[in-house]
Amino acid sequence: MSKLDTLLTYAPDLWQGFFLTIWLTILTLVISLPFALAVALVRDAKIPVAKTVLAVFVNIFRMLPALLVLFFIFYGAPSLGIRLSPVTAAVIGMTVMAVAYMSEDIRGTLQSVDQRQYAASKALGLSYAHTIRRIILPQAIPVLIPPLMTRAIIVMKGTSIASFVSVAELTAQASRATSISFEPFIFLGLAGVGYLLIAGLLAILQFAAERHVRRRYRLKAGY
Amino acid sequence: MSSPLTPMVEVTNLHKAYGPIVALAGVDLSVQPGEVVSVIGGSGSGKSTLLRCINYLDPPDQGVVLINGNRIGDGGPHVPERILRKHRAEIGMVFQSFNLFPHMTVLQNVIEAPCAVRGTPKKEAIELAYDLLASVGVRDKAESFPSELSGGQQQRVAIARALAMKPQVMLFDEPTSALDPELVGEVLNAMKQLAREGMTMLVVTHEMDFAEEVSNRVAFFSEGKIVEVGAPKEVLRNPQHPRLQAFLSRLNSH
Repeated sequence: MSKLDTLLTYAPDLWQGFFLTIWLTILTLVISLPFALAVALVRDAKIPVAKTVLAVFVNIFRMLPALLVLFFIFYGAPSLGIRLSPVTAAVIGMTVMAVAYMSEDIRGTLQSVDQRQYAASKALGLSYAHTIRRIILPQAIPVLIPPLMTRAIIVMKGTSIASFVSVAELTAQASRATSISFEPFIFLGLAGVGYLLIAGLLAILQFAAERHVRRRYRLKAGY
Repeated sequence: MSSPLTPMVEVTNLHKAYGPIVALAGVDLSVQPGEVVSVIGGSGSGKSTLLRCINYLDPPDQGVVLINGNRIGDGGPHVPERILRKHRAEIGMVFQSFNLFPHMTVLQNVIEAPCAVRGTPKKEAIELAYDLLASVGVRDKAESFPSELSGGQQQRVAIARALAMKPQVMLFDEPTSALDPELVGEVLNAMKQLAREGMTMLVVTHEMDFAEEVSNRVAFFSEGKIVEVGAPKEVLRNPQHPRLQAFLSRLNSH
């Protein structure tokens, strides 16, 4: 088989893996973001008991290797009588990790907002929920975009560990094609290009988001 | 000062400590409707804490706060949030650091609370906001963002923002202390005008000329207590308490 034939043989698999990687990324990010925000807000508001429980949760998961967590869910769930598909197990594992990391990104950003804004809001009689939604978050978001988008890129790259629980995403497809064809440069290279493309898209999204908030709030450089 | 009216602000035996530091050690003060009371004293004397306890930004450990005869809480630090919000809506507060919302235009800053808390229709809130901004001389800045304004302009917007809630009393916490000297006058003028219009005001300040000219009474704070209170001329020109005498002579030596 010529190199071209080899490439064409496995291209559809890689193409599928590419889209599965995108799908895993979107699912993980979309599910984890609201949870991460909730965890950050509860901890930031210092709600008794809940803040401690969540602090323990965040610290356990940010201290464990993602692969271990993933194995734990994939191999542990059946022994609890829960049957999870590989994709479901992978998304749950990656989401738990993403919530732990992202909630810290968000919590740090919330604390970067001038705390006197809370006093000003309270003095006007605004409720806590209103203060968060209308006063604090709009000021936190411009600061949050760079770390959060970096986290999104890390989450996207991290989906490659799903290959360890037999999810046929991009890394799994590339390594399978490589091990059969012995053409590492073609398939691993292609997989690399695939990851670069998705990450590039996220980076462009970040750039657009930063520009949008700069214009929206007429922020000066260095804000 | 005897009056048949209910005091607008009445605090009794107010106590507040931050850990081992006692900020308020039993404060009694009543402010009549339309009265302007200036609160003076050294830094750390508890005068700002008094304001923050009146609107429960920092709940007092002990003591009673009455606003226009309405009692807040039961003398302890725990009051339901819903009641506090109602309470705070009646009390305007102006901070040393302005604390405008930097992501909102001046106009949005002023209409946010009336619309959200009072349920004022937006159109009505905007009309009121323009009137208030005009009265403090920054109507032409309505579409600007706070970062585009001088400190004096920001503080005048902050006054308009507080007034937009139609409060019964205004608290000023060192409103000119963060300003460049040449901008102090414009803020004091806005406050003088407000006093002339009959607003009840409690003003923590280091501006002795303002205290003397505008206040009905001046209260001197020391070590968490009001140690001397009376007509501005009496308190500032003829101080009785040795700590007040020392405080004023330190000011005059500059």
